[in-house]
Amino acid sequence: MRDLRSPVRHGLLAGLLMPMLTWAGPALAAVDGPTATVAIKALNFLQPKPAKPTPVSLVVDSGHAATGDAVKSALGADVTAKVVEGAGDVSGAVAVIVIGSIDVSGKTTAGQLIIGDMACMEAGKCALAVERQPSGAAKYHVNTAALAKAGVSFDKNFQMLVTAH
Amino acid sequence: MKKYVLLSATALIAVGAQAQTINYTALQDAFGQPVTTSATGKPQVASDAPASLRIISAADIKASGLDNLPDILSRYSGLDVLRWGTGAADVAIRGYNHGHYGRLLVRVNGRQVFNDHYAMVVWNTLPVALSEIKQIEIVKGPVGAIYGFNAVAGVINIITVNPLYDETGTVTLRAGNNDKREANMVKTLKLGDSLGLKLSAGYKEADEFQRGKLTTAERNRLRDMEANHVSASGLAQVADNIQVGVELSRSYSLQDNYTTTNTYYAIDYVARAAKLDVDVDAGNVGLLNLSVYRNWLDFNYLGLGTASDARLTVAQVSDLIQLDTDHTVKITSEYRRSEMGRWPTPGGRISADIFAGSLMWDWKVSDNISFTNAVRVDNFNLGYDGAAMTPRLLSEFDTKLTKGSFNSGVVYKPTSEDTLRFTYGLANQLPAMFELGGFYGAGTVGNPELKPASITSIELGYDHALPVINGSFGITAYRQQTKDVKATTGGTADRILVNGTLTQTFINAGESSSWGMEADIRGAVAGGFTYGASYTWTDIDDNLTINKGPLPTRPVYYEKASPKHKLRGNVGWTSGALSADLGLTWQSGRYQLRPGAGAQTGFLIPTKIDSYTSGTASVAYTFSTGTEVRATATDFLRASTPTTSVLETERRVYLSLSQSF
Repeated sequence: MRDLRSPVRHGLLAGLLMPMLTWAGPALAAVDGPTATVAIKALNFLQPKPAKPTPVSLVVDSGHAATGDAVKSALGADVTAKVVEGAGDVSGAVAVIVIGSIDVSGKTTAGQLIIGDMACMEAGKCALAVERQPSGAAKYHVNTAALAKAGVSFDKNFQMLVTAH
Repeated sequence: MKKYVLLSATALIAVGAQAQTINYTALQDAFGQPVTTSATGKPQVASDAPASLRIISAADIKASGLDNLPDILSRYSGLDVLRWGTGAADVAIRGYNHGHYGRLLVRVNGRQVFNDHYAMVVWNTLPVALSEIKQIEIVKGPVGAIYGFNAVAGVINIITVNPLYDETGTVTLRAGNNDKREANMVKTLKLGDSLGLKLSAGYKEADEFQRGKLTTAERNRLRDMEANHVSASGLAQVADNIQVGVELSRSYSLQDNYTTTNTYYAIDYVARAAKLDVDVDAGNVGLLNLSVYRNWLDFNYLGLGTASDARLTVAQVSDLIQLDTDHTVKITSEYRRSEMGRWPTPGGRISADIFAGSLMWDWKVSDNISFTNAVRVDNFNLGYDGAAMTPRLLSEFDTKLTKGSFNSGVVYKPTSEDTLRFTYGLANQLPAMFELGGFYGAGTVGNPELKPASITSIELGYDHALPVINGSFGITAYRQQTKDVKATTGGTADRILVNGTLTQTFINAGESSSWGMEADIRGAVAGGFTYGASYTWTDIDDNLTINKGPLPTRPVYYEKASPKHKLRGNVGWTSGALSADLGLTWQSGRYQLRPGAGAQTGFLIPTKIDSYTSGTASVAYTFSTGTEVRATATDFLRASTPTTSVLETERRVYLSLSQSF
């Protein structure tokens, strides 16, 4: 037993302390194609569940349609995506994905889920953000006030798995 | 544009009702890791669970190429399998394994398949084909506050595909040496958005192993293995917020068990079950679940010519409520009645009524710390109806007791790649119905005053994701203590006075404690390779009030019966339609008790099982038509391996042909 304790303890300490000292928290990157691909999986848990393919608006800053097109091309067949520049029309979309810095909270209507980056979610301008982890796992961050304000709700099992803010 | 507007209008109408039951497939796809309710009763991603948890996926099961659950479970750290024959095996977590092992609760879709009559799991009677398993969730360590009695070493929850969410259809034919033959089929059927059905059926047979040191009497009792099952289930969305599920099953197994009396008996089992679930999303009131089921088990010891039956009826109501963003509670109340026809001598019926209540509270202290506590109280009432069991008095069966179970766990995630866990558990192991009220005739009787063994455990675990190898590393260390260890009847030297008569009976026999550790690493590298390695260390120290003489007389011998070391490694490879898996296991020696003969009659002889290495290998090719051809070899390093001191585990080689439809 004594022989085992030492390497176990040292391994634990090294394994714990190094990552703790070097970790800088979740990345605050803008929504890209892979992140949007994970984010739209949350639509499977909307209550009530929308039909597929689900209409989604990708809102980009004016003049950045190409960025939106790149994200659109990454999304699968479960959604029908439309790229909207600046103050364009997002009506009819079940979800609005904010790519860039534009604030869409004033032009969305009740029932629309606004997805953005962490900063957008923390500011309450978006209801949901996705943090992709190096292991391949994903965390869904939900601003509960923004979600309630939008009149959107998730399946309870999903709701218990998200990180609420 | 017109098309877009049309689609939008359609989408804004609610077309699908909501999931009250968990959609494991969709949640795993979203979160990039398996989701479980096994540790706390609430849905959690695997890395958040306050327990030493291992989830075996459908892909893991398929890649193994193996054809039965005990062989699959033996691949994982902390698990120990004693294979008694082609059909019978006991699966233990963290040591203490023996014939008719009773410390591990096993459930299929929430229904207990652990048999109360003898406190054991008859793995061959599980009405499940491997191809319908969505995931196997293994919780190591006591979880009595979540599951009640007998979840003392841990719990294994087997989750099958959900016919409302998943679609599958597979037929498998299998044949191999030892005259092995098997056929099974699973098919789900969706009738619209609101009804899903699943049908599963299978048959298998194989010759019993032959090599090994058995007495003539034992060898004469052996029978070849035969098993079958059929199950039908359905899940219906009867309203936007209500789902109703029904499961019916029947299974049969003829197998050679190595019993607690340390000898072989061929036993045939017929198990039937019926289950009803109602799940309601009650808004602010939470997720309500009503679960009612009954298990029937008929068993017949062919060598003894004694048969009996057992029944378990369970009704459970639970409410899972997310109070706010940081607090979730689950309140559960349960009634269960377990009963058994007196055995081996008929003439009465023993029963136990249990009323239980539990509360789980999960507190998300911060973004990276969670603190979970659960408590459960079980009120146990023993009953007996029938003729007297001399020398027991009928009044002795008017036993009542109340036992508490407790689980607590802190999970700390200092980074997105590191998880630190500290857990404490207290759980109770209920004696088998047979141990409380079995009756061999005057002179050997059950003990209605036998106390449940109580098991406590403290545990520290650390998991570290290793993105660089697309894998992870984990290590868990624990200290476990068992009080009031139960001991089966001994010989005439162990008789005690029962109401003035010297009697052989079951007793509580002191304490046993253990230290242990499990370490795992797994990953994937370029070229389609995956790998895994694990080490299990188990060190048990018995402090018993029995077996004080030079040789044991009661069959309790845990500290030397559990292997101290187990090393396991496996490599998998996939390239297009071709896949292969190779696994090697080494474990240190152990002892097993065997009945003495001649001058040693009445004693149990510790018999050494040497350390051994065994291997499994499987290679498969999948055609574009969905047809898979697979060859598997288990324990292939030699013709037979003495994994027990009785029947040796023979090399099994089989060919499987599977077709998806």
